[in-house]
Amino acid sequence: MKYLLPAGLALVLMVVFAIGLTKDPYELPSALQDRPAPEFSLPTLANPAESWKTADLQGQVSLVNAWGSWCVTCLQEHDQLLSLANDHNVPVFGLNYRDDRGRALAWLKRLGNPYKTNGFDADGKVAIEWGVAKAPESFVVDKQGVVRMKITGAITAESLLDELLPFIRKLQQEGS
Amino acid sequence: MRWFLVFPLLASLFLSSASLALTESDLPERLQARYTDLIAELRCVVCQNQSLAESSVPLAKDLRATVHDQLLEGKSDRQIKDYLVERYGEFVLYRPRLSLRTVFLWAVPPLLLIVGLFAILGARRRGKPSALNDSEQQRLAALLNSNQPSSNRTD
Repeated sequence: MKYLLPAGLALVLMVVFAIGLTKDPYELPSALQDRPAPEFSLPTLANPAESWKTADLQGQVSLVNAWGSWCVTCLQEHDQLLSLANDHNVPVFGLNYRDDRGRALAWLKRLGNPYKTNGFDADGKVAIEWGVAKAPESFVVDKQGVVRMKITGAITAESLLDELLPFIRKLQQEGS
Repeated sequence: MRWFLVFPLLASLFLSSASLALTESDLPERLQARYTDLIAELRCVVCQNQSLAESSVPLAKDLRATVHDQLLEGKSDRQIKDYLVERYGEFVLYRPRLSLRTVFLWAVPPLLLIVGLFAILGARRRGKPSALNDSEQQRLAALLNSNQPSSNRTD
């Protein structure tokens, strides 16, 4: 009988740890959740004379995707981004950070370009503003320019259809 | 075991990780101490068991540069920490601030310690042998006085 309390505690701990094992330590809750996207203005990847800035996020639900040609995991989600842009007509903006312009453009040429516009964040300062830790990370931004969801890691075909797309459609209904 | 080897071996374990510390900077002396303390207190969110002082990933380099630049701008420690928490969340601090969200994090270890102390005290009290009753006293006396050699005596 005196073993009941320690055994009970051990059982509770085991359950807690088991639940903990299912969690991804990189899925940090976004500090930007439900807050306006950070203020930024970047030259575009295609044309340094043009810019992509915070105001461009207003007026539509979009996905902002942080990526680099150096990022191997980004290859995994590239098809999902192409699908999102071409099949589902969701604008995808790219935050190309700590990259080389030539390499980034070649990468897009080789694999296809899902991005409506790409901001070229050479020193990664804007990526820090968004709280990007590892590529790829994506943010769903609503019509008012508020960050409503952060996806850490590659978007999979399942997560695209089961979570991302329904959420985007829901946001598109808002305020219309 | 050659005891005189133990200390240098142990020391080398600790020293080797210290040599990874990337705490050098070109900051003036009055800011260098704050810089070293800050980057030791901030977590590298990529290599999550390393501080900014230890991690060599590009993000850590950038965040160290951010801390460096903000110190030169005259920002306070609190402002710099707030800046990073605003972007990466409380998790970036090794010492999370006390708030409604972190009150459990701070309270549970001391609480567990108190519970543990009670458990130890309780176990000790239960474990103390109680005094012998009368029949047991008689048996003890009989055994002590008996001339029978005991089978587990070694002399």
